[in-house]
Parts: sequence; C-alpha cells; structure tokens
Amino acid sequence: MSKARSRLARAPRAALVCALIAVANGVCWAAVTPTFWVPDEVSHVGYAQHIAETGRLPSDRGDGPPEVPGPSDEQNFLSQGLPFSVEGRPSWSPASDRRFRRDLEEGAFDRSRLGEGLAAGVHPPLYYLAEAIPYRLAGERTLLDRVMAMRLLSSLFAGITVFFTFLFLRELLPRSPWAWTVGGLVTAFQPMLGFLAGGVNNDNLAFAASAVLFYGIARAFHRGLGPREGAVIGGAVAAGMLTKASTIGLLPGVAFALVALLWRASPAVRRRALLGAGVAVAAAGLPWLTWILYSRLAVGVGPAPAAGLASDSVSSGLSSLREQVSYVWQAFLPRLPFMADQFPYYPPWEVYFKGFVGRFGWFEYGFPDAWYRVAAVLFAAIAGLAGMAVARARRSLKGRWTEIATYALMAASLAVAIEVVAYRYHEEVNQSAFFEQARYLFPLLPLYAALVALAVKGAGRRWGPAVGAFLVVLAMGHSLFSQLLTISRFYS
Amino acid sequence: MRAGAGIAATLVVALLVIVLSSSDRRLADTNARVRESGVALRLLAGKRRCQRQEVPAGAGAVRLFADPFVFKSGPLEVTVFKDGRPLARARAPAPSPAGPVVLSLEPALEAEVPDARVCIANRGVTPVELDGNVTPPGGSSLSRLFVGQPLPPDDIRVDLLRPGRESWWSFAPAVADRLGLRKASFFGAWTMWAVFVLVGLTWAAGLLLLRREAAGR
Repeated sequence: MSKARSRLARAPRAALVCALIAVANGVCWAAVTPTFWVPDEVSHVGYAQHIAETGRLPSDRGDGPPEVPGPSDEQNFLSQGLPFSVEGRPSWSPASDRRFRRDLEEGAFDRSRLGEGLAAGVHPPLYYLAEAIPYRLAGERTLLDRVMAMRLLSSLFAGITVFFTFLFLRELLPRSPWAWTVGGLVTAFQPMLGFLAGGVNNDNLAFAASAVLFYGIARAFHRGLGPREGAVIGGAVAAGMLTKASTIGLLPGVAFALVALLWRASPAVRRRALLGAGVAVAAAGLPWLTWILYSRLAVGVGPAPAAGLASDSVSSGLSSLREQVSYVWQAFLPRLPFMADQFPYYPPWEVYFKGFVGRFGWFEYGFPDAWYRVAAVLFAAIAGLAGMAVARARRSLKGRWTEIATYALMAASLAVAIEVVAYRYHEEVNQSAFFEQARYLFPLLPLYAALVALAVKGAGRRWGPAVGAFLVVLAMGHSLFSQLLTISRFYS
Repeated sequence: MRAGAGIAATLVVALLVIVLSSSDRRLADTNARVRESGVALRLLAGKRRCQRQEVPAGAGAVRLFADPFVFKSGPLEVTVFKDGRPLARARAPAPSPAGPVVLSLEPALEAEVPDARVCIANRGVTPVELDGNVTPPGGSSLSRLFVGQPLPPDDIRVDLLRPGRESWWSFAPAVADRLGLRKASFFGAWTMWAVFVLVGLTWAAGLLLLRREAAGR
C-alpha cells in the first residue's frame, strides 16, 4: 500500500490534476444524465446487477430457468417511469416522482433475472465484476441509487484514461511538458468521454485499458522493452480483452511493436527485451486463456463472439468480401465511382466527426449543424499545426518510424475491425441500422491528445503557450455547453 | 498564454451570455413521450376527447400539434378538470395554420393538479387531426418497447407551458427542481447548482495548472 502511495506521489502532479478533472467531469455528467440515457446502459447495468445478485456470469445459467429476452420487472418499471423512449422526457411532476420513488422502494422485484443484461452478455466480464462492487456497496438502496454508485466507478475509469494519456504524452514528447498538460486537459474536458464516464458502460474500462497500453508501448520505445514495460503492455491488453473484445483491433499494432522492439534492441539488452516480450505475451494471454477455459469447462460454452468479431456465421463469398471492403472504405474515405453506395450519409462526418464533437443520449440530440462546421475548421487548424510540428521534426522522426507505424497500425486495425463488425451487423442483424459509433474509436483518445500536443508544438515557442491555453479554454467551454445541451434536452 | 486563454474565455462567456439570455416559452410539463409523434388522432367536429394527465403548478398555456391544413377548421377548446370541476379553460378561435398551436389557459393554475382530466373539444365543423403522445414516427423502429408488440394507444399530445417568455436565467430554478427528480434518493434541487460549482472548480483547477506549467517553461 505504501509502495503504491509512494509511486502515486512520484506521478506528475499535472497528470493527477488532469485525471481528477476527468473524474469530476464524469461525476457532473452522471448527475446530469437521466438513468439509462447513456447508450446501452440498461444492458450494462443488468449484467453487473446479475453478477452482484447471483454471483454468476450471464453465460452461467445455474439451476434457474432459461433467460428470455426482455427487461426484468425492475428494469421495466424504471424504463416506464423514466421513461425509456428514445425521445422521451422524465416526468417533472413532484407528486408523480414521489409515487414513483415509493413504488420503486416498495416493489419486491426479482433481481435474479438478467433482463436487458442478456444483450450485454456477449461482453467479457471484467468491467461488470468491477461494477458489481459499487452495486453491492450501495446496500439495500433502490436501483436508481445503485446505478449512480456504478456511474461513479465509470468516472474513475475516465480519470485513469486521462492519467495514462498524460503519461503517454510525456513518453512521446519528452521535452515538451507544456504540450503534455494541454493534451491532458483537452482530453479531460472531451465531452463525449465525460458523457460516457457518467454512465454505466464497459467502454469506460476499455478506454482506460487502451490508454495504459499506449503508455506502455511509448515507454517501451523510449526506455527499452523490459519486464516492467512488458507487464504494463500485457496487463493492459488483458484488461482490454477481458472488458471488450474490440480490443482485438489494437493487437496487430501491439504485435508489431513487440517485434520492432526486439528487432531494434542492441545485443546488450536483447535478453532483457526478450524477457519483456515474454512477460507481455504471458500477461496478455494467460488471463484471456483462463477466461476461455473457464467459459468452456465450467460453464460449457465458449466466450460469446463478442460483438460479432469472431462470428463465423457470415458467408465469406467473394461478392460479400468485395462489399465488405467497399463498406469499410466508405466508412472512412470518399466513395469511389465503381463502389455501390452503402451509406445514406457520409460516415466520417455524420458518425465519427459529429459523434466525437458530441451526439448525446441515444445519439438523438446534439449541437446545431453550424457548431460542427466551426469545430471542423478548428480541427483542421489543429491538424495543420500538428503537421507543421511533424514537418519540423522530420529528421529526428526518421529514427522513430517503427513507433509511429505502431500507432498508425493500432488506429487502422481498430477502425477496420469495428467496420468489419459493423458491416456484418448491418448485413445480418438489422439492415435498417448502422452499427458504427464514434465511441468505438475512443480507445484511440491518446492519439487525439497527441494531435493536440503536436499542434501546440507546431505553433512554436512563441505562440505555443497561447495556442495551448486557447485550446484548453475552448475545450472547457465545449464541455460546459454539452452539459447545458443535455440539461435543456431533459429538463426544459 | 494569457492572450490565448483570454480570447477563448471571451468567446465562451459571450456565447454563454447570448444563449442563456435568449427568451422563449418554456415547458411546464408534457405528456409527450416522443418529440414528434407518428400517429394522428382524429377529433370529429363537435366531439370531445378526455385524458388523464398531471397538470403542474404554473401552467399558463397549452400547446397542441396538428396538421396545419386540417387544423384550419378549428376552433379548439381545452378544459382542465379535477373531480368533475373545471379549473381552467383555453380556447383558440382562429388558430394559426403553421406549426403548433398555443392556447392560453384562464386562469393560470397556481397549484399542481395531479391526475387531472384534460379534455380537448373540436368546436369547428370539420374533423381535426392532432398528434399523439407516444408513438414515434415509423411506429416501432426507435423504441424496443414496441418490438413485436401492437403500437400503444396514444393520448393527444398536450404540452403545458409556463406563462410568458422566459430567459434561461429566470427559468433556471425550475430546471434545477426537475434535475433532481427520478434520480438517486439524495438528489434534489441542489444537485444542478452543485454540478455547476464542480464545473467551476474543474475550470479553476485547469487554469491554475496551465498557469503553473506556463511559469515553469
């Protein structure tokens, strides 16, 4: 304990402040957003509730009756009372609220049923095991109180995300402390991160694991791969994989990084690097293998094909492959003349950019269009300044191409993995709906922070401080307006 | 650093003041469970349709949503009853054909009327189609409650508005009251103000950190 405390004391104070701001921001969002209005929150709450109430995972049916789709009585009561409608508002009548609370307290709900948690049952259990703790700590209080306690834990994960994003920047740009602070603060005030941190959603732990992973890789590139770096990388991969299977999208980049780190290690440190790589592989693989074995041996089923990533039910004919490639292309790039139009909108703008700037609730309210256009101009300026920083440092970057390639590969492979799942979902599950959401790319938040940090460097020594402060204050305003937007959406 | 922070802060504060000072009619309550209904409910000429609804304190007007073309027929009359006794009435003799119709309640209701009976009467000579309050456009595509189920029976959507136009500054206490509803048991009207204090603290912490790091450059 004292060792951990002394380690925390050695952490840069600026990183701790950024992390605390992210936690506080998450708490604000948790207070502002009505229950079940964070995407899929009812399912994630159901999963964690099931673990806390029965001690069993969703895949472990025990002796109970088989689960049937649909909300449990308690979830249904909350859904009706809140209400659970995409465009609904909670009632504002104090008398009705008193009746609602009384009925919720007095209702003898059967909490052993998974209910909507069944839909989240495809996910590995780590986040839900963690969320079962605040659920239990809330004692015999109502589900509304318990959800609030669970939301607070999600906010802590946002703090971890920002803390390690800061440390990642410190490794990436070791001579630019100002850029670390700006990148950390801009990330801490990112409204979609705050919005998700204010809800019960396994993305929060997946983001945190990814931030640790980016830090571990950057550290290994700058200080050499050793057992400690291997443990950080492997532990982060394990945490991510046991939280959300989409973490698999980051693995090609991780594998490339390990190979590159071994390849460039001098003979004097190659043994240490090999040990580090071994630790990384073991730390990543053993927990995942244990989970697979547990699923197969103790419960009798394999881990669910999380979010369709491992689905083998899709025909893989050439035509389907061509369509899939075309779909993935159009998700990020302009459609080429020979491609069939597979989206009714332009995904990079409608899904990823607007989703990053802010589309809240169940993606049904956001800023006026002009806001996104202004944000696009601002992002273009940030990208331009970052480009200037890269151009200026191109000589020193020559020796870092493997590191840069690692981050690029992590980003590209995650994006492709998500779009492969999105294509399959669209084709096989619901042809009128599209799966992709901006938050699925949020494991790449450290790269967003790096872009901002590079922009500050790109502005040069004279203007860098002013640009950094400008961006941070703008991010604060963006966060506040996002919260005001949510308040006006539900309470006015 | 100060110049950058100052410019951005000026922009943010100016926008904040403009947005929060804008005045409009504000909702007192609504029975709407969707913003825009996909179901039109027909009210024949001379007929009345009644429904149960909470009517909040301070309701000064009623807003109905109708097909503008059909609605030209009017007039409509809305009456709020409690235990068979009329408490307030609103009438639109010549409603505008464009957009929702706002009818002033006379007298404005000072106290909350739980489980009131709200009756909408078509005093015209042709039928009127009014939006329902539950079913979203496209029926069941948005809410999982409707998947595989018959569409729910809609009431007429009735928005109850506060009297007059208000800025966000004057409306804020009512918003604070609402934010505490249907949340954790320890939430209340204080919660929204606490959120703003916390937001202020994060801003202060961020700015102090910037200043400290800039000084250390």
